[in-house]
Amino acid sequence: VILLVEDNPGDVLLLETQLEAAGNDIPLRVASTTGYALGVLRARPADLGLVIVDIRLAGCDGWEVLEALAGDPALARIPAAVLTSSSRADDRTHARALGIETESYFIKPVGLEGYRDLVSRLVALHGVPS
Amino acid sequence: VNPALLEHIESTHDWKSDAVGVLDTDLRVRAWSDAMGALTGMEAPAVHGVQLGDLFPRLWGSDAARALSDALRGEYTRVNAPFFAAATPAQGRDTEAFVSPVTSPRGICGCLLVARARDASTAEEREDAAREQRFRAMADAAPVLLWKAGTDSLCDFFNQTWLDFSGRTMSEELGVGWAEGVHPEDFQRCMNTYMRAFSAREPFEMEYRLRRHDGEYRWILDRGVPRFGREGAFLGYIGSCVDITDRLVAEQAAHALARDLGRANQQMEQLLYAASHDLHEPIRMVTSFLELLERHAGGALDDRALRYLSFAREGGARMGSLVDGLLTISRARSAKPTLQRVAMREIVEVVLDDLSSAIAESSTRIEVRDLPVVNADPALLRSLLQNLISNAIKFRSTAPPIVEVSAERRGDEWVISVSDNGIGFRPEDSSRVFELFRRLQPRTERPGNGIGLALAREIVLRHGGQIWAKGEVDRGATFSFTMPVVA
Repeated sequence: VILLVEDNPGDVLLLETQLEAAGNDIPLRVASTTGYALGVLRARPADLGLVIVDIRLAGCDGWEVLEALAGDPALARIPAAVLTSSSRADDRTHARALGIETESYFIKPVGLEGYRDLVSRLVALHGVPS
Repeated sequence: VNPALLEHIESTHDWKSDAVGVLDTDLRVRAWSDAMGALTGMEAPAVHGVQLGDLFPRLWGSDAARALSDALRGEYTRVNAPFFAAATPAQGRDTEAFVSPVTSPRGICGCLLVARARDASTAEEREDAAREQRFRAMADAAPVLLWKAGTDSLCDFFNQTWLDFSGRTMSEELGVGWAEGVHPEDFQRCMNTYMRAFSAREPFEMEYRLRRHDGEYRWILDRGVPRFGREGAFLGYIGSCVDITDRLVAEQAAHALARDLGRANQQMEQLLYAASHDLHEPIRMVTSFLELLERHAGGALDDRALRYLSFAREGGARMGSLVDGLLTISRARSAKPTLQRVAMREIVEVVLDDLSSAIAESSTRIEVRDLPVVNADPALLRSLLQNLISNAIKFRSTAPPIVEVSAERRGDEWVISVSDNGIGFRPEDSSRVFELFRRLQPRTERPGNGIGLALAREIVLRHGGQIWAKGEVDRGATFSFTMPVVA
């Protein structure tokens, strides 16, 4: 299961469509607030194969999710990725401090081409579902 | 001492102005000039025949007494010590005396005493007095306010410029009188600074408000330095003051202006960044879903509807590229370049590598001349050269394109130029080419977002250089920028 922390329904739909188009059947769970995301994380950590976080959410802070993942040994094994429109250097630095390396830091693509590439890399991060 | 000899002595001296006395071998007075009478306060008739020791009880045992007996043995002596016991002020004056033997054919028959009153001061003191006189004359003519203080920290002199400024008299200002003119809010701080420096014998500098003759307080910059005399003796302080009110007012205005400008500029940068950043989001939605729509429903649409879609997509893509450009410019403007020594040639080679497909497709010949090592931000310099070189390729004419990268030293600057033999531009457009989003060619012919040269200019400005362009229609263009020569 991929947990997507994203408050823009457009982005959710795009990612869903492209996951589908890639012939992937990994279930996608969507949290539009950090509160809900943390709830999912704590309730069913074993199910999760990947957490994708948009760090800029309306009204809440996506970093909280990444901090929870990095700070809790039970959650630390779940791969995490950042998917954002921010290419700011300090955001990248912040992410690296929370264990998100460059290959897991994604800028939201402008065209569908970019999405296809993104999806294949996300699936690789998720690994084969058990 | 015979009368002829006395007469001779009298005739060789000016009896009115020279203090002369003639003594016999028993040191009794035989002659006494009028001037000597005036110097000692004892007239000739009263002293004649009297022994010198009786006239001046303190003579015995003194240097003068020794000098007199030496004279009787034939020696010539000068006596510096006070010769005469002082009873009256006149006698108290410091004198020096020249004592010499008086000889006749039969041998030494007495001694001659020539005395001279000296000024109260020593030669050094006289020199000091003269110097002081010169100092005051100079000080009064100086355009700055001057003061002097003695070893007791009290002021003992103010120049005329000071007195003119304060509108007070010297006696009002002397001592600590001047401090009455210091603004009450500055007084304590002033005194602390002054006394601290004074006890440490260190130079000091202080700013305070001093009341001018018209009652207005003016800001004064006061610099004081300790004075030391011969052999390092501390003599007090001397200080000079200038009225810095006008300068302070101007500085404050300039600071306020710079602060406002800086703030406005910063707000603009933030606005630019936020706008370009936030615009990204909706543009992405528009372009992505238009693409999805075309893919999803394209088969059901007629040609006209597909054309609408394609215009909409192109518009979205163009918005995206403009916003990208804005973001790039805004980053270049706010980023602080990290300068390091870079060989420009190496940067050019990286750029040519990046542009290799464009170079190959257009069969452009690139000529790279000798290029200097400069102090620059490597990433920004690369972006700058990339923009200039790709521009030169893009605006090629039908002739086989040639692009030349060269450098020329002018004084302490390098002028780096990228020239091409392309379509050029009208000379009157040479500054407009650097404007953001300015395009001189239809987009359909030469695609671009109008960012490249604006970014190039921003990068050059960031490095403290200048950039300019020269061109003529169909005669190619040359873009040049300056970089300081590395020391």
